[in-house]
Amino acid sequence: MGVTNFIGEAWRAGKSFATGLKITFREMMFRPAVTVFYPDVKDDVPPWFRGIPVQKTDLLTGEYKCTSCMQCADACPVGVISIEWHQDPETKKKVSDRFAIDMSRCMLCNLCVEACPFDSLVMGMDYELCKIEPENLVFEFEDLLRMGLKYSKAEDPGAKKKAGTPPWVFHGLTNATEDDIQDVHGYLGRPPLPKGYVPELKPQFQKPAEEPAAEAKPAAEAKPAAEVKPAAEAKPAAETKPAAEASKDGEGAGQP
Amino acid sequence: MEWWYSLPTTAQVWIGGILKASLILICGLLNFYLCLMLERKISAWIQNRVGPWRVGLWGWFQPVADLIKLWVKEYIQPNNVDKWLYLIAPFIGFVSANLVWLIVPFGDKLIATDFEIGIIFIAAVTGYDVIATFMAGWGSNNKYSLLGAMRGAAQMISYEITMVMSVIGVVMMAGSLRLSDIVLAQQERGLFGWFLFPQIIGFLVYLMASLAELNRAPFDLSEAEQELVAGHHTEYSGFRWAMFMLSEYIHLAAWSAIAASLFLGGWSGPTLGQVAAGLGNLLNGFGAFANPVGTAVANWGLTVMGSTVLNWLAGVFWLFLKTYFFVFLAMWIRWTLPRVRIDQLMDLGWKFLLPVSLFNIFLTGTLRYVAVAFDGLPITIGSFTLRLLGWWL
Amino acid sequence: MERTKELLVNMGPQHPSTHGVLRLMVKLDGEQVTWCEPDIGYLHRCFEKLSEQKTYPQVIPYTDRTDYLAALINEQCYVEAVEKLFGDAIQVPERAQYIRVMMAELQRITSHFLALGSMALDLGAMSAFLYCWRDREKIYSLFERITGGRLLYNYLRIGGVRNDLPEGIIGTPQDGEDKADKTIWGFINYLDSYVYPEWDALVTNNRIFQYRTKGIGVLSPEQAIAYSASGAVLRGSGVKWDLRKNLPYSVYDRLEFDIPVGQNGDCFDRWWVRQEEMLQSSRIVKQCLQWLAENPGPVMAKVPRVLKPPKGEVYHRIEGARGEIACYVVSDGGANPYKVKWRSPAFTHLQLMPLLIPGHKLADIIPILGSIDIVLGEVDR
Repeated sequence: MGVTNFIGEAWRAGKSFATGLKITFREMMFRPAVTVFYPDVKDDVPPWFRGIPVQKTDLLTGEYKCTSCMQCADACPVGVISIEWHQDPETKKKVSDRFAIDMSRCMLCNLCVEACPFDSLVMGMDYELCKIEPENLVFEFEDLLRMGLKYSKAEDPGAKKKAGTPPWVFHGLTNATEDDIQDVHGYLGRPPLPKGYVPELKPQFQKPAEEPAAEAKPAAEAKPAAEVKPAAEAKPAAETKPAAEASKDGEGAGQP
Repeated sequence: MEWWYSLPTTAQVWIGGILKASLILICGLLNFYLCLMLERKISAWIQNRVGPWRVGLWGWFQPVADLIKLWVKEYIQPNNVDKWLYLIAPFIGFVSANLVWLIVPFGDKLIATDFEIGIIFIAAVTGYDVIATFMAGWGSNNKYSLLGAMRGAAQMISYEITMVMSVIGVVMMAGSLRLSDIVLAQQERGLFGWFLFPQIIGFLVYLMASLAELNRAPFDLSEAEQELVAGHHTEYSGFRWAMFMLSEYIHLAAWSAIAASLFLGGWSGPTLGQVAAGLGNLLNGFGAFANPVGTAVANWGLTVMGSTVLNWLAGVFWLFLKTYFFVFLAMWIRWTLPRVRIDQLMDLGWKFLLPVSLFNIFLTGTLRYVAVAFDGLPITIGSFTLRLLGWWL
Repeated sequence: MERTKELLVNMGPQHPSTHGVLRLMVKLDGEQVTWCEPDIGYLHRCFEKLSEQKTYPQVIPYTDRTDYLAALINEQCYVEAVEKLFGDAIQVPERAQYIRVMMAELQRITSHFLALGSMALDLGAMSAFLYCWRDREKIYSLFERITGGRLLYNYLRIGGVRNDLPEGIIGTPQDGEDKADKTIWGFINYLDSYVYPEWDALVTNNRIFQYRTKGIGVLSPEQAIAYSASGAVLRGSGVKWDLRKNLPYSVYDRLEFDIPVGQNGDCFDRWWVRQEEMLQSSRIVKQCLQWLAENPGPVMAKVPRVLKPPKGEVYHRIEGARGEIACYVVSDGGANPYKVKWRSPAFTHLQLMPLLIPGHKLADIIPILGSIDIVLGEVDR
């Protein structure tokens, strides 16, 4: 009894090992490797992939669509979007001073894109966003526009058209050329911002009869908070909370 | 060669010894390289990956990069270690691994030391490994290392006996403990003369026992413990850890070479001359339609058949082929089977493998005796079977 | 009588086999464990407090991150809880419900892959772990096409799902393995015909694996019920209780599937229950695929822009991958929830450790922990 049990057990064990070995042998010899030889070979990314949120441009008029309505900044659960704007005294329209997304906190949840009423934000397909300095993970408006060129298109011809302006020369904001439309990764070549760097705003963004918002910005390590013009709005308390968080996060964003 | 014989005997012994030792060391290190690379590649292929890829051609220089990195790494020595035990333990394992290569027969008369007691020598040398493991575990001043080392030592001691028992069947069939005799015995038995076939039970027991002895495969409790950190070599860093790795892989290669010699026929196999002669014969259609190409090849084969150097090369080639078959088997098993627990391991060793190996010895002995005793009896089915078995055994 | 001192061993927060940052304090007498206690909190991220400051839709990405290995199931629990708060004001379209169920079952399959794979890895069958990842990658590709994310999705919304399934993702029932990462039918056929037999033969039927897991960590049905076990832990002990059958939610009452139940309550039974559940989940997915292929429609109800559920509280429980996930939401009529409490099964199952482990050997802690299948994101929230 003991012996037959013994042998039976040994036989069953041996058989189970043999089937297991056969499987690994099959995997070894007859199945291809699934390794993707990154970075020489990159897997295709499907069209709805959620990479960094980028800003679209109307390629016909050369204007960006963002109107600083703050919907995305409110919708963001983490509060990574920092928006600054001022009101142009003549046209009474909002002029954007700053639009920045802090990618070190962004969780790619897509709520900002869904909230945008002007179809300006879109989740790009870029996922290679590494930088050397953590401060550079705050993507400013120029970077987002440049990356968003790929997703932009020429709008309806009835829209405004600047006479004589080629579609890819933008409203002085980016230095994009035709090549940039093809190569959206040129931004990777930008060197890290030096310490004490204060970005120089182009003249159209400087606050009228005020010091440029640039001086309100301290050194690159501490980007300033999103400011909400209190006068024009009477939003309920709930909606200022994300803005307050945006401000907290805006300050924290610059720190590594 | 006259200058060699003109030297005094002590000089001959010393210089010869140093030469042999260096060659063995180099052989061991080359085998280590190949084993390490094979381990990573085979495990990768089993797992649908490609393993090391970028260093060198298809990643085959990876061990060089690894060894250089380990060489320049910082040696972290914990406080309160037992200094001498801690420092020396890795090297003892390394030495014992290389000692096993001394008795591996690479070819006819191509063996470093032709001990008369070859198999017993292996059993003796294995004891060093136990000492090394235990020194490492105790000297590290670390609870987990100690636990791992105790388990490892218990495991290794249990399976030493089983391992020796499993090869006694082979020794009985060959009639000698000397490894070169065992290989020659297999060569004399001709086709299917390997001791693998009659001694299949012995081979399987040897496979399991040697895997347990090497701390590999389903029995690697003291080494790759995901249960309790890394066992006896937790506290080693840099090149001292590399020494443990070196000793493990050199041991693996050495024991595979022993297995190849004992069970798979060692260095015996068709030499280049024999292959050429056979090929020429084939091309000639066995004499049916002789053509100049076939005849030239056959003649060339016949001329080189006696060349010692080519025969040695052929022997080394066949030995390494068989050795790496065994290594491949060990690696294949490692990446497939889960680990056994320590008490199940001891049960397996003492309650299963040892009785099976004793049964193997009993069976071999009985059948050989029966074959000899019934020689000359009238042929009946029973005695015919026994004689067949006797021939086979 | 003289006794040797017991050894207090800390299987610390950084350990290759504790499935996350879990600290297990274990007292050893030689090889036997005499006392065991888990110590948690290393992954606490204030999820419940944080959700009081977010609006209802903004909490959904946070729920993803509790049980990050089966994210959509958590989203389903929270979203259905809030929809219950709204009552009849939000009618989730049927197509959205079928999509939710199908995704949840695919997530269950993924999570079980990882549970089985990591338990196999801890026991030494290292190749099985990599096969688990090979197949999870295929599911990631599928989910990438549907939702845009690979591990964390933010796909379900209060009132439906975010977008309909893209063209061609469903596939045809004849799809084979080459389409396993492009169409769902391809993946399901691949699972049934290739992966399940592979796991069966490689690990489940392996004698060494059976020696390591049979008879280890036996949990009797009374103990399981007393300790609020759920999911595979409960079913492995022989109690036939599955929220999808006993308290059906969403469209589960229209789907046909069985509940695998173990006999002995040991680690092997829990493993086996998970393996069989994968097959049953694939059955559910097939039925959902057939329905979805035939019934197009809207996937999102009309909901106001700022969601303010009426005052009230709701406790909603669903069958998650690891057990019963439940969500208790209290609304005070505002845009932010007043309170969100998350009942995670892994937290409850960790209580079983001091019960199951003492008396076993040190090497048995690993299969027991693996078979209980915790994920620290859920335990610590």
